Amino acid sequence: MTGPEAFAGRWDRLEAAYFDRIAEVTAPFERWRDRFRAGAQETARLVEAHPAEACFLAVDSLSAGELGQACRRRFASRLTARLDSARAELPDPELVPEATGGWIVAFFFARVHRRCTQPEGPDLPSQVPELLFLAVSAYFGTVAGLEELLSPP
Amino acid sequence: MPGGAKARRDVQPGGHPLRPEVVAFHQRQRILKGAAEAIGRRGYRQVAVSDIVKASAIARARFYENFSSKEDCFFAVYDAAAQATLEKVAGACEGTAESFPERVGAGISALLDAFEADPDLARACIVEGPAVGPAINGRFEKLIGDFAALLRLGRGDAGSSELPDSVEETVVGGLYWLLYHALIERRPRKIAQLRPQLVEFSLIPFIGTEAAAAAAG
Repeated sequence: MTGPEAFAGRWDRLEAAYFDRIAEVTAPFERWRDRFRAGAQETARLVEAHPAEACFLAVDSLSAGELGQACRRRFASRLTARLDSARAELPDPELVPEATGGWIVAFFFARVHRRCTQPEGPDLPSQVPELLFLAVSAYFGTVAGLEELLSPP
Repeated sequence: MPGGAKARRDVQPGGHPLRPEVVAFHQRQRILKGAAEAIGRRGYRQVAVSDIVKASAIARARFYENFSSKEDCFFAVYDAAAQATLEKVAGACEGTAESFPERVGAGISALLDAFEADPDLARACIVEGPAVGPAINGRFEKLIGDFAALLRLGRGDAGSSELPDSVEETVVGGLYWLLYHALIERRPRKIAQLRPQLVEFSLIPFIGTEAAAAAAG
């Protein structure tokens, strides 16, 4: 198999496995906040448990030219669509900026990328409360966001 | 006459020869501009030294008088752009000393103006920087850290002392990767349209959603 085919094949397998796993851990929950918390914690656990796969998705793909860009764009779009389901729980969803889902994907990715490139830094699970604070604040306001930071369930 | 051809090239129209350090400075600037253009348009991995030499309209020997490799040249582009952009953003923030939200708005406007003024350079640094590989990691961390330090200056004004120390790095990292994706799409108008949202996202953790939305306009 050639380089691009091998890259695309590995990407597709990891992407499918990731979304299957996230669907599994979030399924028991009704509220967006609970689903997001479960998904974020599982993502952090997966990054620590499978560093080579995490680095392939978050770092190596950045050097893979247009194919890497296309794969990451598709991955980010799927995540953004899932995150934006938070709007269904808002009384006035149009008050939340259009790019909010993409914003959450972006800062979460920033932490995963940093974890992969600076492995001596803090582990990702310890950073999840801060990421939950930022994500919940973006959709539901900072009072709700601070609950994730100061008194997590 | 030894060196006659080179001496003629370095003579101004008025007949006075340019000082060698002036010629060397301008040659280096041409190479940096050519490298940003070539890498921004075609990608770091796709560009060779010969492409930079062609884009710069200089002799190959001049390139190697200034840089040891493509990577060495790219890091010079990256460092110069990062420093210049940081200074522009810091200057815009300081020039708007009214309030923390106004300073953040001015800083983000200055950042997007810099992208608009030289989209090849923005793309070369933001999109192609991470494509270089592990050698860029230290510079990337410094870039995020420098802009986070700028944002952190407003924390006292915003009264958000209960937040973790790393929130500013997370916010700046999020802005980086949001702009990364916007630059990949090569749609300058879309980047400009992101401004109010970028301001709002940057402010929410520090001043709350309603105040951030009001400040973003």
